[in-house]
Amino acid sequence: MKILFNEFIFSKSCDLFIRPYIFDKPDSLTDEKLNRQLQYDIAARQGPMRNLSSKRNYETDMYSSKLNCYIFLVISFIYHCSSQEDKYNEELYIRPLSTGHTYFNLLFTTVVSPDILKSNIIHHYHLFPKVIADIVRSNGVSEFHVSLTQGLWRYDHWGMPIVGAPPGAEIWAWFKPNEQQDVTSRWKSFVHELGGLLCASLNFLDSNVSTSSPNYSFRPQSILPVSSTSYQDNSFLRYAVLPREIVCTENLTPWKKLLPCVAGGSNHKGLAGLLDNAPKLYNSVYHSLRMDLRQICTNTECTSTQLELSMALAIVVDTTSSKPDHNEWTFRSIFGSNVAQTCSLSSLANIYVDLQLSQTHSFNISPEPDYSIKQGSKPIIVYDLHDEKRKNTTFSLNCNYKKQQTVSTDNQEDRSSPSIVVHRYATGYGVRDGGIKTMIKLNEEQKQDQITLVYFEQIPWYFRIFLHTLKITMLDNNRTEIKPDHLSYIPGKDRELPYQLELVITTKQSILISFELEMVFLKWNEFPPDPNHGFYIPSAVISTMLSSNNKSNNILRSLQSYSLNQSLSSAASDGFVRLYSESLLVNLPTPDFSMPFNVICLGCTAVALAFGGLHNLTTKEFTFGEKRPRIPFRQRLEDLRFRVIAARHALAQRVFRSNQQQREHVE
Amino acid sequence: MPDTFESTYVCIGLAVRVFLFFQTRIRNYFEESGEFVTPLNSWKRVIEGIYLRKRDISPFAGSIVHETPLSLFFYSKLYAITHGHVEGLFIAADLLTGILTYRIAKRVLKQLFNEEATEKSKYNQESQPLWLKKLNIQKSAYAVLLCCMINPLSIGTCLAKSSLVFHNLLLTITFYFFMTYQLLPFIVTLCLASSISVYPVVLIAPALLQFSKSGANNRSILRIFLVIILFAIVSAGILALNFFLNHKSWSFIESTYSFIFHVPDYTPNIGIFWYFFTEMFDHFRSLFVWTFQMHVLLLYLLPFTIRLRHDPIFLFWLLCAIFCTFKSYPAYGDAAFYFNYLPIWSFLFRYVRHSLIIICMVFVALIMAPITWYLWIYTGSANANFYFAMTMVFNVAQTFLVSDLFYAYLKRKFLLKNGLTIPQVNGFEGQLEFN
Repeated sequence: MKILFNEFIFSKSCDLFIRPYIFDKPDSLTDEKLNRQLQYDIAARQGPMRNLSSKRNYETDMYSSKLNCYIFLVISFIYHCSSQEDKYNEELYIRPLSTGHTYFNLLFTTVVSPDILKSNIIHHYHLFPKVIADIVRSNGVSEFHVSLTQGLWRYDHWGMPIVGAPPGAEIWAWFKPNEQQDVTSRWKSFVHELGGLLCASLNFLDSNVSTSSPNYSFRPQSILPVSSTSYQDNSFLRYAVLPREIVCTENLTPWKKLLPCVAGGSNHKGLAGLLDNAPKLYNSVYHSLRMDLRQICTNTECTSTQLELSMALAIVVDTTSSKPDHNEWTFRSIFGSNVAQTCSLSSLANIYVDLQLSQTHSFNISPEPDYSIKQGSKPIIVYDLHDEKRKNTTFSLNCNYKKQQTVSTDNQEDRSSPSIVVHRYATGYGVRDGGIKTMIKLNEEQKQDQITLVYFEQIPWYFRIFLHTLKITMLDNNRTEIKPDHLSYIPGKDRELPYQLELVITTKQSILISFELEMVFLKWNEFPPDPNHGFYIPSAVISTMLSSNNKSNNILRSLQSYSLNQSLSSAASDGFVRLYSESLLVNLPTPDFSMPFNVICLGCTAVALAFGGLHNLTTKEFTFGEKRPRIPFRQRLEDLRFRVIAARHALAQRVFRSNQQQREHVE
Repeated sequence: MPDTFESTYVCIGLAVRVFLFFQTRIRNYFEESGEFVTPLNSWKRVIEGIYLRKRDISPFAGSIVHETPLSLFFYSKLYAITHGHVEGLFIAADLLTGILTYRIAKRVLKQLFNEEATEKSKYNQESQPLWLKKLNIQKSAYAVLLCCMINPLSIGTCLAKSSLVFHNLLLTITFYFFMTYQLLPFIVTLCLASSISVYPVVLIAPALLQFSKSGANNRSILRIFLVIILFAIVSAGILALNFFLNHKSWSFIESTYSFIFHVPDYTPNIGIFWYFFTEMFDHFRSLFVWTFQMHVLLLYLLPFTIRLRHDPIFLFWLLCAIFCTFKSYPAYGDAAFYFNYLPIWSFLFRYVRHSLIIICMVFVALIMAPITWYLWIYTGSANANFYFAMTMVFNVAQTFLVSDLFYAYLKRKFLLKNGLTIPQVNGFEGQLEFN
């Protein structure tokens, strides 16, 4: 029975992962020693499963059956620690955009049992990156979302992204209640560890200076059993942004290494193979790396939960070709490589091409798609890389399309504008006072029913917001002012706390949110290098639920599953979107950085002048004294001249005398 | 019954203020000017405080509001009564300050005249040209009123709707009660004034001199203790009142007293603190903060009190001038407060040594400060040093003014006793020496 069970496991799923550990051991080891060594090794090496798939073709026959039996016992133990339902999905979503750009979104989703976060067990992490599990477990994080973005997503031209991100780095995390350490210190160590892991400057976020806890905007995205979904206090949430953060290959490399099918060198398997050529990925107008961890339900009844780690890379590449109105790209031109082999760890490897533009453009895509699905009125064609016919072949996608001249465009363009577009501007001139105006535009379709917007703004303390100047006006002809349904405001504190403003607005119209701010005069050593570059105001965040009849023109990631496969197939998407406005660059008044010593001297002189004069007056008395004869100026000059001549004479004599002495001494 | 001069001057003041309040551009200029508005007294911040209070957010949680809970409560009541149109109140408060200053001037001059009259026997008859005359007294008082009404610094402060207008009114009332020897009202107003801006605390020294006089020349220890104890009790009472008005929380201490003392805000004003601490090295910061604050609060207190022990009125004015010059967030309104009393001391002007330099410096600073500000903040063609230079010039000018008037006061006192002609010393020709 036992043997049967072991064999069953062996044949089913363990062979892929465990066997390489076996073969790493030299033959000379005794059974017992090997067993211990093996246990140790497995515990130590359960990080990202690298170098595994390449070794899976080794033979097993050289080991005795007895040894095998022991190993299987260990294997079965480890296997029971992890879940049987671990899944790894690879997806690539491609959408040609009307501006001539193309949007590529690589999505790697790992679903594992939450048991790996329990402490005091030797874990088998399976497909899940061990480092992430360690960070999450030691800091009591219940879910986190981090994004590193370069460039700005242009909503009005490109529609909605799969998931939005502000320029720079953004991170938000919910912490588990009832842990020993307080949330602030856990957040601090969490961002430090994550920053180290991703080679990003997230360690600048640790203090309260750039961190806030929004009330309404960043609710947990974990889906928990109904019994435990009590309202969570926002004191367990931390949100922070670094708008100035620059994203580069040094962030991509460690991020990439967390994927199961990424090997050393450049022989990655599956869709991760597209990440081989990092410089190519940065030759884009928009580049966004992200990582989301949360809990999801295992089944529809939600009796138990699973851990879902979703890692996504979104790039927008200019794919216009030299011919007018003509676009052309291949995997090799975008990524510098093709999908050489499938990753056999993945249970799903799909490529979706969203043909929104098919009404105005004629497409020519090779190879032929496996099947197509319809989202709204737009077709999406799908390639399944796990299909039998693609086994052991290189997959490459070629796409070229051009604009059809015949179709009238004005009608089309109106329809393709997304439901909500947000723009933000800094107002005012000079470096003393200013303001921010945020325009939230709804399209005609959206204006038919009311929409509830949650507007969130986190402004660094060196911009002082005046809440009484906050105005929300409709962008219709009357410019009527409206009141927010809820307003949550935490005033900032100099050098301690950012300003945090959150509004819940119900509207049918496009609106304009404006308020005034004042620039703070900073100390000379509070400026970053290049102070005249300016200071960033992070993006405003607008979260909303689009009504269900109004998402024809964009893919919305459903909250049920981050995996696109389910979002595309399930009709009942919840319509949750989060938009990020532009981040603003504002100049602050600068002092003269070369002046510290001069200013200290001058300031002290002014005080000394006052003190000297007044001290004199309090200590001296008026008296009548003898008048000294006045010496005329010429006389004084003459005296001075005589004195100088005398001094010179004396000096010359002394020099002469010393010279003489020296000479005598020599003689 | 006001005579024609008084009513004319007040009417001029009223007309100028009302007219300028209708000129939005000019008003906006003053409201945004860093010389007139500091973080401590900006009306925009007061409105923010009132608004936050209305929304049940503690105004002291952030670093925008620096008024005490009591003054914020007072302003919110004013704001509610006038439905936001507070301009009339500002004009009224400013004119009231002017009229009270005029009354004070009259009392001061009368008292000085009476003192001189009783002491005439001790004076050298030769010094008769220096004696105060009834006619000059009235002229000086009128000059004080006119100065209050048309002083551009006062008008600017009023137009900027700086809460300094109310603070100056409070200080003026304090001075008035000081002159009328009303101990209890004086202590209450003094405590109120010092609860808002801390620095008026030093005025307890002239109060001790003024209120402890029991006979012609002797002071009673008992009275000194009475004044001190009263001051302590009333101060504690006001602090408690602030505490209860702030929903039983001490949070206001940090954004008021600590804000004034530690100077965490480097918004340019006409003082020397802002740029000095902008450029300060962190490890020297606390040393210099303490030095500068002690310089204002303690350094001059004892020497001045000892030197001017017979002249508490002049001491009062001198201390006001010192803390208005060297406080951590001074504005032109502070300078205007003691500038307006200058015509009282017109009998000292003949002994002021650097009058031309002082006048030139003040005018240069007044004219150049807005220009350098514009060049720095808006066009970016100059930097902070230019503006700082102007604030330094203004500061040094004020220092010279104060020390020169002090010098003149001492010199006149000496000459009154010893006459104007210089006697022979040891058979030789003599001269006046100061050592």
